[in-house]
Amino acid sequence: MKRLMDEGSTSFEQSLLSAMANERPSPELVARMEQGLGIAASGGAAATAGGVAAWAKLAVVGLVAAGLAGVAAVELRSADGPAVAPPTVKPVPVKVEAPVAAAPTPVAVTDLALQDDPTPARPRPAASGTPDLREEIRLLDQARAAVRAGEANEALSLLAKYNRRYPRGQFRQEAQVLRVEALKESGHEEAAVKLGKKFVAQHPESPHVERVERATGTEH
Amino acid sequence: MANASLLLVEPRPLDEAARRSRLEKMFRAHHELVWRTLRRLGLGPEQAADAAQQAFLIAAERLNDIRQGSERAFLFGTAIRLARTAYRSGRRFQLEDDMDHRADAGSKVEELVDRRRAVELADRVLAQMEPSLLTVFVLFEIEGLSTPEIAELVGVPLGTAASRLRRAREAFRSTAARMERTMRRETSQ
Repeated sequence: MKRLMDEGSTSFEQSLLSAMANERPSPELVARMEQGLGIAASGGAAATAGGVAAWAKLAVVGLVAAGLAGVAAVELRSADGPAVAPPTVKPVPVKVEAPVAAAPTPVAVTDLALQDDPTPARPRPAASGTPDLREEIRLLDQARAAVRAGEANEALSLLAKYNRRYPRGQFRQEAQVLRVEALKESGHEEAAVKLGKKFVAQHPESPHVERVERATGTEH
Repeated sequence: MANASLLLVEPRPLDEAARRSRLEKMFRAHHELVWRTLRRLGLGPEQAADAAQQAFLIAAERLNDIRQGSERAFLFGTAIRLARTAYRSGRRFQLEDDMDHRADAGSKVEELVDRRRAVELADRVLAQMEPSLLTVFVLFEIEGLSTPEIAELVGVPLGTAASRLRRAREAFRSTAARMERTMRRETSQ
């Protein structure tokens, strides 16, 4: 059987098929995937030290990802696992509304949403290959899924939890970007822009800069 | 003794380097088709990038199980499962809100707009298709897999894959024709 592209399709069908076949991820998205996988940026000659370090985490990350492939995200979200936060950590007063499917509900945003490095009473080091790293990834995956599902309140709550547990976490930049997106999604445009600007000032070379600027509408 | 110790510890880092190199090669060769497949199966540009990354992380975990030469099939299979998971959990993309992918630098603006519009229209057509037909259609028509390859990937008999493909093509052509008629009507008004 021949492909539609190669036999008797209309020019409209051909233009649709051709557009689909030729779509490519943007350079920014490719850079994001490369960073997540810890491999050298395309065009770069050698793996960076960060890339090597990220590769060292892959075994753990892979386990988590393999789990993700096998179960529905819904199950993941509800499986919040045993609490591992140290009891001495002061709870953060982020008000969590019941998830709303359509219109985002405003959330009570505390100053914590703008802090990128809150100091808990007893910081927990996140060493590669420890259960902490798994938990770190799981929390961020949940937060990412919540942002994508438009559940900004849940995302902010998860990100606050991430900050409390992992003040020196491996994925703090990603957490901060997600926080910007969640703030924007929840209607806190001003807070999102403020945090976004802070992120860009602190990490001008980050591959997430474009994503932050796009989320806050501050693209150049 | 020192040499003996070196011999004992040296293979591990070399092994890691070889694994990393293989993953990198897989990524370079297949990331576009994995991302594109996830896009066509209903994920937005960023979701597709997240899921594609997951697919490669899973591949990294299972490198020892992936035979040389079957990397593409493994990644396709993984991408399909990830897309199904996203579909089941109701995280399919919002077409209008998630068209923020960018074309290659240097494209003319008109071309970019046309291409984006065509992708958007195409995805509207695909969104009408049943998931089981959609997978077969995307793999055959967009990524050029053969029906035996698709049957194996999807886990159905060859006859079923062929029949799904026929139905998928009918659905695609009928929706596309409807869309074209509507557009012509709107343009002529």
